[in-house]
Amino acid sequence: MHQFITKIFLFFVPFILLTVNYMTYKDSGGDLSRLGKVSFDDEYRAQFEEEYSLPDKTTALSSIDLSQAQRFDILTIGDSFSQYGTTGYQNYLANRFDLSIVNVDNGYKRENPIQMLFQIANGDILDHLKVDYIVLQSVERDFGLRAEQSDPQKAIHSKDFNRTFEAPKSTGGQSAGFGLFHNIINYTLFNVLYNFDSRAFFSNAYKVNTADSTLFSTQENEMLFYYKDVKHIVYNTEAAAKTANKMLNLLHKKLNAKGVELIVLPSPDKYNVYAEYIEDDNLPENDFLKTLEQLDKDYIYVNTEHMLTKNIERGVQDVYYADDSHWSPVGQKLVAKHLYREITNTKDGYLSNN
Amino acid sequence: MLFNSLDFTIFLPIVFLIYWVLLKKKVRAQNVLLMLASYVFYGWWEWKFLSLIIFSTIVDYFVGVGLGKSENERHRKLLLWTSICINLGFLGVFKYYNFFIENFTNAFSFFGQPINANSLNIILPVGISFYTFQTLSYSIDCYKRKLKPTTDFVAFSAYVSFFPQLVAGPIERATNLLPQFSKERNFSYAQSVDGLRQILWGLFMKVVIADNCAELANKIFNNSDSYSGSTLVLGALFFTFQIYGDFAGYSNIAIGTARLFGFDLMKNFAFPYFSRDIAEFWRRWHISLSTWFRDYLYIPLGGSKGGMGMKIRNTFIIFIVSGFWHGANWTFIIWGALNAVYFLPLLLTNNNRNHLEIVASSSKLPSLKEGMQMLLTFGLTVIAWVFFRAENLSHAMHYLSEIFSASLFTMPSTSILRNGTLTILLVLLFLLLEWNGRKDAYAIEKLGLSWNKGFRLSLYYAFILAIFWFGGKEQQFIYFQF
Repeated sequence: MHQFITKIFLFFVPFILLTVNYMTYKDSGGDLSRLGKVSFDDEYRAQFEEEYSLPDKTTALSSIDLSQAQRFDILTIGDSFSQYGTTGYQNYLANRFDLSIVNVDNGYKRENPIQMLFQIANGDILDHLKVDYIVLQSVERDFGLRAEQSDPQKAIHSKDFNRTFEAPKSTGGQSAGFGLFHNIINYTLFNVLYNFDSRAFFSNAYKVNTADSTLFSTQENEMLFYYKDVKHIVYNTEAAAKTANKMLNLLHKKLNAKGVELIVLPSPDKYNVYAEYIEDDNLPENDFLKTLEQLDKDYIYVNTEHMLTKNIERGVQDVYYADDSHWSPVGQKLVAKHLYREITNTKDGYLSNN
Repeated sequence: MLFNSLDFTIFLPIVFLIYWVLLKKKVRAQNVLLMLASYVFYGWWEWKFLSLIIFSTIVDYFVGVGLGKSENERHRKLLLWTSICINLGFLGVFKYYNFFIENFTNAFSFFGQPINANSLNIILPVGISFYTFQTLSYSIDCYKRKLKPTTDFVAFSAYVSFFPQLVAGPIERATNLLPQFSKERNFSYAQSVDGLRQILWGLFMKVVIADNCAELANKIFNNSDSYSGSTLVLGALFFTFQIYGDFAGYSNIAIGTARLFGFDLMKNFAFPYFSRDIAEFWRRWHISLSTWFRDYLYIPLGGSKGGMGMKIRNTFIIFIVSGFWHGANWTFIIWGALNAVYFLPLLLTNNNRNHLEIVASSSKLPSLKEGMQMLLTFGLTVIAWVFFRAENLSHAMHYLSEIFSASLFTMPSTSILRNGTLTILLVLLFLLLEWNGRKDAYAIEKLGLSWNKGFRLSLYYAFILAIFWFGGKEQQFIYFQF
């Protein structure tokens, strides 16, 4: 018995040591910090706390009765970049420019806002829900695939809306803490392997050196970005940009027939925006948004890539969170202001509530 | 409490140490510990569920005592039926009430006589199908005088609630497990090490194989309208390995955990996907349930004795009831009936006892004939699993009709293939290990035992790292819903 207990204890010593090491990990809450197991000081996120207390003046689509007639200036639909609540670009638009905004929060986890917008355009939701503009936001890395995989004929009607976007049934889904062991091993493993490979071979976060230590308020010569920013470049070809543009023009036509202007708001990949500062020459270039920007389009296109890179060149820090793949409140505000400028500079240049 | 959880990782060593260090050789105290630990284990999900299992335990204990004392046949029958009615009554209410109400109202509406009957918001207590069958087997065996009823309430409670097998089996017979609670248990180093190895293998099956297959199976089944027949085949295959990895994995963990405490549970899976016909499959899949139905339903109905009509009737009853045991949905009933259709020709031609030994027992590889037989049997079970997994009958029929359409001959979805490459490789490795260990109690029972210590330790570390590294998104054990 004693021999058994002793041997089992000795067997688990490496895991005990890994667990002790894991206690030094500081999870700041950023997705890249979590994926790459890179520690960030608690103080980093604290600087944005004031922004989190902004009043939320947007409306969630899930809270609306779609059978009742309602009017908003703007409807926004997108992926995780559009789900930032009080610190999202929508809320800055609503607070700063006094616009009425409704955000499609239902089913964003379905991950194809382009498809969802086609379905809305083909259905009856916009018959009661009147908006002047629809902002379609999509992250760059998935833009081409989403456009390609969208069926422009599918429709969704108001009576089915919430039910259709419920989480699908699965045979499981209960978290039981086993992921903790995964994290314990990854923490030590990645922090060793980042010394040999910018992706630590297996991590979902790249950690690269940068030429400029002032890009983020952490004042480090390092940057994190999501691995799919690089992996999905192969899908975002010139042909994919043309297909996406064609689909967006078609979408605009459908929405225009209902009196709605389409605004496309791409969220450039963090890797792409900071590419010129990265010291690794082995990473590929990404020209998807540059190609898309140059194509003939009927919809309003917000050139966020150009706008954000210019602001970074001017020395604006933390446009993206240092520990996350998304815009920080700094970036969200820049996007909101730029979006408002695009709206008011359109050829019709109006918002019906103003 | 899940086996693949941090809570259990803390719970098990504590109970183990108290059991063997503090309560060494004190049988009664060990039984009290096991009983209390089992109630903690079970109550971890929802403490309210404890009332049911405790009530069931008390009823069956006193039924047993009564059966032991009474010689009056009528009185004994009354006691037995009390146990049957209470146990099956609980099962019926918690598991099947809404199913019957729904079908009842649908039937009346169909005939133009709508009725207003409300379904209830009932939570299904975890493991109720398992422990009610376990206690029923005790009552029935006592009635048949196969077993002397126990007067040790603690031992009986520990038998009913024994945490390694409480919520998802194996469904133990009182004749096997209950006497083990009365005997002194001596710590065996070899048995404990073997138990840990079996737990390790069970975790690998569940966390690495089942959970990874589940992610892909869920994606395909939940979006089956969007996929071609060839992708749907992949979905069915992923589910086939999900349910095996999940259920057999749990059984391995249960058996291994029981061995840590000096108990031997029955084998519940014996490499069923290497079966050469459906009869062999059902001798190797969920053995504790199929033998339970054989002994307590099939044989009392007349079994294989009697004419063809009786054989057909009994076969369908057994498989349909078995299907229904799995869940209150027509898909499970059809799954059971389909297996009956598969089984019947073998039974009627007396070919249902052909393959009693494991395939290729004296060679490394199967013969061509054996290979074809395994493929055919495997294919039939995969088709049946579609009903098991589908949301409803219409979904299952649509799924299968799409498989057997022209889109079967198109390339499967590239995103599924891309995301599933690692899982497919893991399943192939898993099959290799299963094949290699097919003559043993579990696949890695003898793996590495003849290696030097360093390599053997490396093997264990490799499994543990694989469990942590390749572990899929956390999924509950499928059979908890039964």
